[in-house]
Amino acid sequence: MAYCVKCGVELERNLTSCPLCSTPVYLPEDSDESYQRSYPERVQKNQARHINLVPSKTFVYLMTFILVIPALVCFMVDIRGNGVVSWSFYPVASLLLFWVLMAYPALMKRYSFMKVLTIDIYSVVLFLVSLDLYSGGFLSWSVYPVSSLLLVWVYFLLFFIFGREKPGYIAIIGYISTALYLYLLEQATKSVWFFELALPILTLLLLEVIIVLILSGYKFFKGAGLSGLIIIKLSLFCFGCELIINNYVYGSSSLFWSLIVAVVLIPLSIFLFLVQSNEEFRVYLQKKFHL
Amino acid sequence: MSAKKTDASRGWYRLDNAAILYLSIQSERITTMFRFSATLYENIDPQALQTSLVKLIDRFPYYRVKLSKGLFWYYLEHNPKTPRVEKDVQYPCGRLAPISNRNFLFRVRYYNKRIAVEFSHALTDGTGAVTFLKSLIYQYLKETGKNISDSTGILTVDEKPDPGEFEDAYHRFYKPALPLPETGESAFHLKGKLVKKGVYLVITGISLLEDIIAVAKKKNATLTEFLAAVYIDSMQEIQDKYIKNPKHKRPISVSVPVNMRNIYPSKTMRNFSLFVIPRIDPRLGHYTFDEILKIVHYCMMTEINEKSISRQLSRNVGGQRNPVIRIIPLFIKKIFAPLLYTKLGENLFSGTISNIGKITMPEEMMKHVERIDFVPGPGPVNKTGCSVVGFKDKIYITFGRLTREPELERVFFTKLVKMGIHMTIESNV
Repeated sequence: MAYCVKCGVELERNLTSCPLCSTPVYLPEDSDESYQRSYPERVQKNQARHINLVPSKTFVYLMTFILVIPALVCFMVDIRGNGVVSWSFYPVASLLLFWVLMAYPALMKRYSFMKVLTIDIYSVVLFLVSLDLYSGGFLSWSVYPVSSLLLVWVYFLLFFIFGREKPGYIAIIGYISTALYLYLLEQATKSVWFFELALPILTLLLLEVIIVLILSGYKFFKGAGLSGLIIIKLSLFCFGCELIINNYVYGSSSLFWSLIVAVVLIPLSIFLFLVQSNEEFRVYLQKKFHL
Repeated sequence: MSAKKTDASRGWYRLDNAAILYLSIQSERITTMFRFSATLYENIDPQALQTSLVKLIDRFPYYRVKLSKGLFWYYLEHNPKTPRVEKDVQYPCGRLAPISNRNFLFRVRYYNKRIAVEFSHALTDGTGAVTFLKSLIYQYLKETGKNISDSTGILTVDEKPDPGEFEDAYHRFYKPALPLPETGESAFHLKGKLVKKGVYLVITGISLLEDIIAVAKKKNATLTEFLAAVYIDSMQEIQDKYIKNPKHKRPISVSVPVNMRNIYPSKTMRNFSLFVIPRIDPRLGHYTFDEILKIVHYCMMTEINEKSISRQLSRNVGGQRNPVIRIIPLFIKKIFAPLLYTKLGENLFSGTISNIGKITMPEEMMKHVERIDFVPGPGPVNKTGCSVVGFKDKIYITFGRLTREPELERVFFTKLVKMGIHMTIESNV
């Protein structure tokens, strides 16, 4: 029987100090192998809060009726006033879109984020195209939001498929689809800037990204080294950009603002490389600036 | 009341008054979980425990629920999933994890020879949890082949749930238009830095029941009164240590939950308890232990009766019945309720001492059960809570705290030791 000399209480076996006053137990009994602690050492896992954004089926039924009433009212007023469907197309289509966005995940049996996103983007696209169609002059303004939405979707899809494992694929397919998107915009706006301006900058960006991806495999380019590499690449990209832009706008190849950027970024990246290579320096910085 | 019964038979329940209160203050630290555990003489067989839980859960349909949100209130609805038993952890009464816990508001844990049930206060109070634990042990013992014929006082799987067990007793005994109870000024609270989230430190003191009752008897007090007085005395000692200037001292009060089933005829298995708050004011001078005991004793005598309690009940339920409050959307209620609770609830008392009394069960079951523990739920303002349970010839006084230093526990237990009561201390750290 072990007692705490200070509190005078008897202590549970195998305790090395008093839980009340932390006084060590001076003559702990020979610890007993068969004895089990009164609580296990396992700690409850911290679970992220689960937020369910998907409405239940019954909620969808409720919302359907709530949405049907304004839709019918618009429709009736329009028909009685004009004899044909005129303006009521817009509110009714909007309500329909809202319904699809809300109801799809609830009515779908197995849904994933990507499926929901796909359906959402495509129904918005359909909505925009139909509005454009209805307001006369097929494919006028809707080209811009629709193509932008599709590009966003492609990027989500890329990250969804390749994730973090294959950033190279993301870069290359992203490059192709972005180029296509920009080409489409050029055609739609009936101007000439794609081959002289957009494509070279895009290609430059792709090259930089690929070089960073390849170099980041080396041990030196980790941590601060990787930051240094990215910063130096950023500076190079600025050089390239300015060259291409000046060439396109003025027809000259003089450099100005990218030099300022370089003056800031290149010393910074050299500093980061130094930090990466010099162990002592790194430890010093960690000591002085740890949070 | 007939409307309520239909709700229940259709698989959903309105929250009772205490549940609304506890849910509104629920957070990562204030989990509002409390725990009862029973230690048997043999190691627990998880399979048998799981089977008993599955068999038992439909005897307690009001616990087979999950929490859902309405526009104005939370509500409980039938949970089609099956509850699972899980391994025990070091820090009890942790936050409910909706996914791993399958949306249930209680959980059953096992460790070596011990079965523990942890309930959210949204579901029930101590009486409900003890009843559930007893039924679970009964079923488990049967499942493991023990021959138990006597089931007096145990809710078994063979019987149907009584409609009275579903009721919201607060509503049933609500009397409109009673004067409000007096609310005192805010009380003294323990200081100290909180431990990191998820940690809950538990210290249990074990003593012989007859020893402690003998000391209380000598002073003409019941066990609850005696322990509440020791609690207040300990708080007084701590306050004296830190605050020298009497002008800066705060009143010390401790909330003692009262099982309302003893006052009103109700069989409910949901929440039905309120508090009595004996208090002393150290600004008037130092109180001796006997003075404190006298105050506690007479406070309990005068406060625990149908008339005084119904005032408190009336205030709490009246708030919930107020039409203006009812139509405020839930998300707005959620913002203001915690403030209100700290102001009117926890600020008013320095600590809680919850005595569930002596747990009894049929003799045949008794010989398979070694001990029963009761761990209070964590509260951030008071930082320390205390609960008391008696089983067989022992008494288990458990403190749960969210601070690193067990200051109150040290003073409390040393006081008991000085009175000649032999204490054994256990801890989860």
